[in-house]
Parts: sequence; C-alpha cells; structure tokens
Amino acid sequence: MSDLTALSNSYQNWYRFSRNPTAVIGLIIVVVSILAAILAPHITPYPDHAGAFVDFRNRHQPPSWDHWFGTDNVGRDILTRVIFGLRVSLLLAFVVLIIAVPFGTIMGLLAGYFGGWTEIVIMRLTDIALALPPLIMALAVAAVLEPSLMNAMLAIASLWWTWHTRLVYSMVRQIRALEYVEAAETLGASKFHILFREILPNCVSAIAVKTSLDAGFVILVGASLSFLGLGIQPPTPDLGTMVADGAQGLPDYWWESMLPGVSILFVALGFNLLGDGLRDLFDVEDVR
Amino acid sequence: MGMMMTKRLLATTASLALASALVAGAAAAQTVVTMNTVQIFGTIDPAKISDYTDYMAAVNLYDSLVTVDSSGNLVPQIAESWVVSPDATEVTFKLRSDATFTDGTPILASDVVYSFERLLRINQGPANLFAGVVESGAVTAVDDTTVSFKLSKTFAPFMATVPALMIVNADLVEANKGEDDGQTWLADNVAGSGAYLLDSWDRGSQMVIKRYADYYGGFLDNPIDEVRWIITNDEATVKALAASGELTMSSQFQSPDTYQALVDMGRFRLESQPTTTAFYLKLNTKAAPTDDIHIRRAIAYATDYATIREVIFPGEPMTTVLPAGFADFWNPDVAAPVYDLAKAQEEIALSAYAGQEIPITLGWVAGTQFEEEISLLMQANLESLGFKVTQQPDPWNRITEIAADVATTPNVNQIFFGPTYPSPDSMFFTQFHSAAAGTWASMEWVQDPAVDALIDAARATGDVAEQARLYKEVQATLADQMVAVPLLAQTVQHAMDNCLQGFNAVPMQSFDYDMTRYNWSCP
Repeated sequence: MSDLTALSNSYQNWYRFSRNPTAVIGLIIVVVSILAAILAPHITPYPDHAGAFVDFRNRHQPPSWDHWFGTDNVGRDILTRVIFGLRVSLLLAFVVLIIAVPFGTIMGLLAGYFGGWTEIVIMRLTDIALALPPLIMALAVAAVLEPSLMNAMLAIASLWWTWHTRLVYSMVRQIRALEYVEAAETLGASKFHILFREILPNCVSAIAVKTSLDAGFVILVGASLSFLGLGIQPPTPDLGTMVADGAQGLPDYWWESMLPGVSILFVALGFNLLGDGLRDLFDVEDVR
Repeated sequence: MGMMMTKRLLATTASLALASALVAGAAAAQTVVTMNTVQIFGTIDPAKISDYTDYMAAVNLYDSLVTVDSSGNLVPQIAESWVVSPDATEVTFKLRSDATFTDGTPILASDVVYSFERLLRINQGPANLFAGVVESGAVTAVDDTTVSFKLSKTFAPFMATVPALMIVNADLVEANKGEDDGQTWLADNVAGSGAYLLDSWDRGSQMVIKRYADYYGGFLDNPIDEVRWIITNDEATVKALAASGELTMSSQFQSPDTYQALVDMGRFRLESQPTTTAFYLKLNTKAAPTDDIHIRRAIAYATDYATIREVIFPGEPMTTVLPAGFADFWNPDVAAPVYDLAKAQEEIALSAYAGQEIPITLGWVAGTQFEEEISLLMQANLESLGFKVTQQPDPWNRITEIAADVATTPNVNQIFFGPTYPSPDSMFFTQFHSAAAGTWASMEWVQDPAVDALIDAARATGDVAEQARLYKEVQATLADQMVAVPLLAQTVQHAMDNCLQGFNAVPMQSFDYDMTRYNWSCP
C-alpha cells in the first residue's frame, strides 16, 4: 500500500515537472551534456584531436560540414574539443560539490540543532567565508600552491560549503521546533538519529535544488578561472582556455572563442533551468 | 549671480582655448606616432633599465657617448670622436662642445664620470656589462670635453658596451638626490639630453613623450613630434586600435594573422627585417633524459623547422647557436639541423633510454600563442617517437626562477636571446659560459671548461681574426653536443603606417626605436 502511494507520488511529481517546458529543456541539456562527456571518444568526429595532434595546413578553418565548429589555431576540430572540454567542466563541478555539499550540510545541521557556541562559531565562519570573493580567493590559493585548475577549484570548494550551511541552518531552525522532533527527543532517540534520520530528510529537496543551481555556477567559475590562465595542461581541451585562446583571433576567427563560449552558456543554462524546475516542483509540495 | 558669472567666464575661457588650439594646429601640424608595446615600462632610470621597453624609453629620453647603427657600427652621439690606446686598455672620448641637456646646460666630462659612478653604485641594469672591466675611479675627466676610460684588462667587446652607459645631468640629479642616489626622483623624472621629453606616464596603460625642439643632435625633416606607447598584448585590441585610426605602428610581437589583418586595412605596410635575435630550444644537458646526447640529437631531428619558420613564427634559418647576422663570426661549416623522424628514431635507439617510454617536459612562456603552437607541434612529433610529453607553460617571472636550478629547469625550453650589446660576446658569454649558469639565458647548463676557455680567450684578444676562429670553434662544439636546437633568427616585423619611415633593425636592444631616426613622409 505504502509502495503504491510512493509510486503515485513520484509519478505525480514527474507529471508536474514534465508540464514545465523550461525545466524539461534544462533536464535534456544536462543529460545530453553528461552523456556526451562520458561517451566523448565514441561520438566525436575526430577523437584524436583532443590529444597531441597538430595539422597546421588546416588551421583557422571556419565552420563547415567537415568541422561543424571550425578548427583552431593548430588545426584541431573545435566541436571535438568542446565535447571533451565538457568532461573537465563537469568533473570540476562534481569535485567541488561532492566536497562542499555534504560538508556544508553537516555544518548547517550542527549549527541549527545545537545552537549556542556551536552556532556562533560555525555561522561566523560562514560570514567570513562569504565575505571573500571566490575568484580572488582561488587565484590567491593557486598562486601560493601549484597554479593548477584543480587547486583553484579546491579553493572554491573551501568557500562554497558556506551557502549550503546557511540554507540548511535556516531550515533546521524551523524543523527542530516541530512536534515530531520533540517526540523523538522524548523517546530518547540519539542526537545522530534525530539529525540524520528525522531532520535531514526534510531538507533534502532544498539541498537538491540548490545543488543543481550550483552546478551551473561552478562550471562558470571554473571556466572563468581557466580563462584567466589557470587552465589544465595543454593539449587537454578545456572550455575556458579555448575561449581565452580563441579571443586572440577575434574578430576574424570568431568561431574559435564564440562557439566554446556558447557551449559554456548552454551547460550553465541547462543546470539553472533544471534547478528552477525542481524548485517550482518542491515549492508546490511544501505548500501542500 | 555668482554662479552665472563663473559659468560665463568658463565659457569664454573655453572658447579662447579652443581658438588658440586651432591656431596652433594650423601653424604646425603635430606628427603623432602611436605604437603598442606588449609589456609595461618597468623603469626609466638609466642605471636600472634592462628589458626592451625600458631601453625603448631610455634611448629617447637619454643620450650616450656613442650609439649604434643598423650595421652594428658605433656612431658619435655626445662624443664626436674617440681614440683607443694601442694596447686597447684606454679609450679617450672627445665630447661635442655644443651638446646640452634638456635644461639647456652643457654636457661636461664630469657628467660622464658621475653617470658611470652612479651606475656602479646602484649596480643594476647595464652595470654588469662593466663589472670587472672598468673599476670605480677608472673613468676620469681630462678636461671639460675630454673623458678617459681605463680598462682593468683587455676586453675586446668594451666599445660595444658604451652605448648602454646613458649620461645623466649630474647637477640636476644631485639637487634631487634624496636618500637613494636620486633613484626615487629619476623613477618619474628625466635628467637627460635626449631628443624627447617625458610628457605623461600611466604605468599600466601608456607613456607619452614629446619632441624637444632644441635638441643639439638635430632632427630629420618632418620629425616625429609626439610618441604614444599604448600597453597591450591583446591581438584583438591592436586590431581595434588600427581600425579606429589610432595606431601608427604595431609592436614586433604580434601574430602573423594580426599583421595580415592590418595590412589588409590598406593604411599599413609590413616592415620585415632579419635580426640577430636567436630563438632556441634550450636543452637541459644535466637532467634526464636530455643528459643523453642521442636524445638531444633526436629532439633536433624531431623539430619541424619549416613549419615553425613559415607558419608559426617568421624567421630566417639558423644553423649554429650564432645567427648568421654576425657574418664575421658565424661558422659556415656547421651543417644545418634537419627534420627527419627516421634519423630521430635511430638516435633514440642509440641512447640509454632506448626501448622505453621516455618522459620529457617542454617549457614555454604561458599565454604566448606561438610558443604553445610550437610546443604542441613538438609534442605530436615526440610522442610519435615514444616520448611521454609534459607541457609546462609558466609565466615569465616564474621561468627566471626555475632557471636558477638544474632540477627545476625543464628538459626543453623555448628561449629568445638577442645581443644586449653589438658583439658576439653577448651571445656566447651570457648563454654558454659557466659564469652565466643559473639564468634564463643559459638553461642548457653547459658548464664545459673547454667552452669557457674558448670564450675567455676570445674576450681577451683584440685580434678579430683570432676571435672569429675561437667563436667558430665554440659553435662547432655546441652544435656537435646539440645543447640548443637553433630554431630561427627572428625576423622583426612591424605593421607601420605608410607615412612613417625610418625603421631599421639595430643589433642592440631597442636602439632601433630611437625616434630621431624616423620621420613622416606624408604632407
């Protein structure tokens, strides 16, 4: 019986989600991007162009049937490199969020539930972290450590968790006052049980919305950092670096910077549309 | 009421100013040259200048005893003549009696002595050219217009280094000496005798100099009245400046595409001249795997010279470490390196690393598109031979740091080196002598006593034929050891407005941007 209810609930959710065209577009973009990144060696027209390959006779070719996105300054197919470049962008988003989301969530749970000194220390730490501009912080960390994109993104992750802490904190403040939590406390449930089994499940939808919105932002920040020169080692394709290199050829070779730039836009847009769609979906449920 | 008065007054003043500007404009059309530079001006203090923009400003703001022409000959500037003693250890300069600083005071022998002593005290920039050659106190004023340099030892390239000693106005610097020998004051002010005066300088964006009409050295007809250097290395910005009509002359570091785009605009022509600036792949001879001579030879065989010179970066073929522009000293018997992957494979088979994956790092200047292209070309060829390439782009200031240690120096390094004084000694001593080890110019870590002995012998003799023999032997040795793959001798290129004349490459850093050598050929 309960299984049936769950099924019909999720079916209802999907039905409402699928009635929201922008959300569906977002979902399609995200799924296609992820699949394209995973299957890059099999679906790209010139997979060897992602590695050590040069062909100076075919440099700076405008978009054509052979090269849909044209070729770059050493004659590599830009479409191939854009698809491979998605791998780096998505991997970065994954790395940052896999660190920032769980850590930020736990911090938010602790601060919201225990209050007192725990709350003061954690929330003031988030205030400090939020006062630091992430791009500047990333550049500074990369300058001190090895100037690599991964180090810069770890610096981003070290600031990003604070957003999740604040979100979860504000939700926990409301939830902990609810009667079912008091009931669990009265029954002598452990603090661990209350935090992770009673309170956390009620925050998950909000965290999911925030995470999918974040993915788009993190991809943009990663692209900005590699645009500023913190790219990964050539010849590995990376969207931000492609925009920066291509910009040298503007306006004559517009495709070399514009098309990778539009690709970044699409992926970031996809995650944002998906996040907005999820938010609409869950907001409605909350009201109910 | 008060407001009204002020407004009306302002309006009147403005229209008056406008009118007088129009009158002035009609009286003498100002010739303004706008040029982009790819880096900022670090300093204009002649005791501290080191890179190409520093020298570019200094040669216009200051004069030297002698200067250099496009053939590398010394020509009079403040000095009208000079005499070298028979044993080549004393040089006496006779100054022009009409030479004046830009404040109108005459240039005296005592100013030369002061400029030299100040250079040694501060011990930066060109000071190293004179280290161990001319000691403090060895430059003396014989009379007001005669100055003598006594050398500690015979040093053949001495005369070629004299243009780097720029003369400051001793009285003016003394008056603004402060606590630091006038360094603070000369960082923003000029105390020279050059043909141009500093008009404005915004460190991050531009420098403007204006012609000093009473310059003792005189000008060509239709001289350049004002020079604006705009600092940008962005190709798109250079194209936009050219399209808007603002740019008169590009820097020498634009991409071939940018030159072509400017020429296509119709207003520009491409000036292209061979230089003695060499472009190498410097191989770290003290680190694996480039410590193996066969690996170094394999790299030379795996280099696609024609594509690099013809497609990626313009240049003349180079066969030895010395560009052929040093005609008397260049060794014609050294065979030019060739691109031959089969031979590269044979060399690898002879090496200690045969039959395994060979890891190798390729170093280049981050953000330089043509160097990235060359490095990708090298990677494609080397990986086809079984190398495992790591690309190591670094910013220029980091390259100067990693060059200080064998362990941090990459295996292969793309380095430009041009003579800082018009003598082959500048090419050999600064790059291949043990005394220069640990600098970006000597990332090969040659440290070979036999090479050192040959270079030292060439420095100590005044006999040009003997020097040539010694330098040819150095070239043969270095080519046999393949310490540096000679890629090309840079062809210097500028897109120049059709009306601007006078560019002639000079084998001494930035002396070709002395604006008294230029003029405007259109009405």
